[in-house]
Amino acid sequence: MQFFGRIKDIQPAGIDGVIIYFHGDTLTEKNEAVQAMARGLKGRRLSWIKSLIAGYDSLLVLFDLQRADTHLVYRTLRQTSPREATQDEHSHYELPVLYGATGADDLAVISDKTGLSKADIISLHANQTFKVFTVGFSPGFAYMGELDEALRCPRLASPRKKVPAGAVAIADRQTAVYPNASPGGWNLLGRCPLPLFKADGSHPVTLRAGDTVTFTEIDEATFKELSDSHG
Amino acid sequence: MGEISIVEPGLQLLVVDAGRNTHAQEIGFCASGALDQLSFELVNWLCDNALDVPALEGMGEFTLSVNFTTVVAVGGPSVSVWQNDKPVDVWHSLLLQAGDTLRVKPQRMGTKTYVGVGGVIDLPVVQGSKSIVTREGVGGRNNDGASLKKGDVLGIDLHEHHPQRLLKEHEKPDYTLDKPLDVVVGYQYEHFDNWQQQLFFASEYEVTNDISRMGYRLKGQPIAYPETDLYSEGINCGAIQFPGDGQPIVMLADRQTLGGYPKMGCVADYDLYRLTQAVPGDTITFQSISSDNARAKWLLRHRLEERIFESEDTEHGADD
Repeated sequence: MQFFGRIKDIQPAGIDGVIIYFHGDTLTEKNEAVQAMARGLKGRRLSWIKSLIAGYDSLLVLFDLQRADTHLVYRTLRQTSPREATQDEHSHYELPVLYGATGADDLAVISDKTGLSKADIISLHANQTFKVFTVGFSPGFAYMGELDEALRCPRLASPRKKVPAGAVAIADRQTAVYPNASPGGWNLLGRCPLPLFKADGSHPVTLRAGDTVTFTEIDEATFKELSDSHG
Repeated sequence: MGEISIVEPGLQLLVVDAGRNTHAQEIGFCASGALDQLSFELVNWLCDNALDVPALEGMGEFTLSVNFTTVVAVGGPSVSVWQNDKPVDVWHSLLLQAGDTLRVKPQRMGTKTYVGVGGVIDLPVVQGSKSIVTREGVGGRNNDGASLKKGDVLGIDLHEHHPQRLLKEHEKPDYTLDKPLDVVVGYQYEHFDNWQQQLFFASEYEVTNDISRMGYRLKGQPIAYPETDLYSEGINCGAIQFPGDGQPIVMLADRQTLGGYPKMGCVADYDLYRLTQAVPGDTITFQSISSDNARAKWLLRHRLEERIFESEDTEHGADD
């Protein structure tokens, strides 16, 4: 099979799935190609497409087996123009963070791993614009990046059994906020007091691929105030 | 509205259905739904329900009671069923009267038994599904993902018809593992060394104790994968992934939507019910199939199932 556009490879992913991998010089470029193809396909409103699950550099297309096969997916990909995002399609969020918050403070560990001071760690994380690459793993968990190379930080050797809701974390060159308490293997920087995505269907903040996020540093008093006002 | 009470929940008793709106996976919700979709659909058919409405999925021995007249049906591998201590048939619509109890006991610990009820179980809907998802803390009466406990009561929006249906011998699911599970190779398959691919398909794997609704961990010949960085990517149902120790994990209904372990391919949809009904200690082998052949096989099986589902009650009517 011949590939085209920014598609690097296409592989079967089960009877009812095809996974597409994309080219790009940087992770951001690859991810933009993923999002552009996802938007192009969504815009065609093909009812035989059951789901479009975006990864960092890949797009998993699940289809209705009774009405489609892998050949139809290939043909459709050829006939679909990737679409760049328009300005108003994506939201920008400012998320307040209490860095070094009790119960979510790995700053010393991160300092050991990166050789940066706590102040440097915070300054490389706060006031930057990060992009949401994909949402998944658990409901509403948004993978954002990319962090400055200096802040690159491997995952914990063994994951924690429980990370509190709102924990702001980093791993490799990614950052994320745990929307709900869950197990997790990322290094914790602090906590965001705003309620994020809730699995029960109420979504105060729903991050989507392509959205941008800026973290702002707050003090303990502001954290308490914001936590209280959101119950 | 009728009520069904949990007298004894067994090892784990859940409400499951056909799973969530598939697009919910795009924002991180797991697919969810019955682990053994075939048995689940069959018990619904025996109750003259739509095939995707909620049913009970239980492990171990469990007992229910009802406060209304309704049809129910029980299905799964080697199950015994009693209505008020009197043995009754599995894969058979059963008419329960108010006050009746239904006791279900599978022969082998760990298999899943499905109980369909004539009507629709009343529970909160999350992303189009009433399935209880323990991992996410979602679904169930309090929408907290808790499995059913002794004394829990479920409301049922009953339907009025009481069909008399049964499955003929050849229509009952064949749960045996003698034949290999079909695998549509894909994902990183081409990046595994050729001899590692061959080793995987030539080896026997044992089901471990580490099995859950997210995935079944198997044990056997470890499979090596060349050192490379993989980005997290979408995981389809049945995906066979290899973490660092090279032992396969087959991903199932409550799997996470994204993951970064290398994958050999996916167990074909139509063979997944045999895997999900396997218990620790059972052995499994795999064989490769092209996606075209797998789809053809799926369509054929689907047509055979539809022949059951479309048949008249008289053809499948009970003798008495």
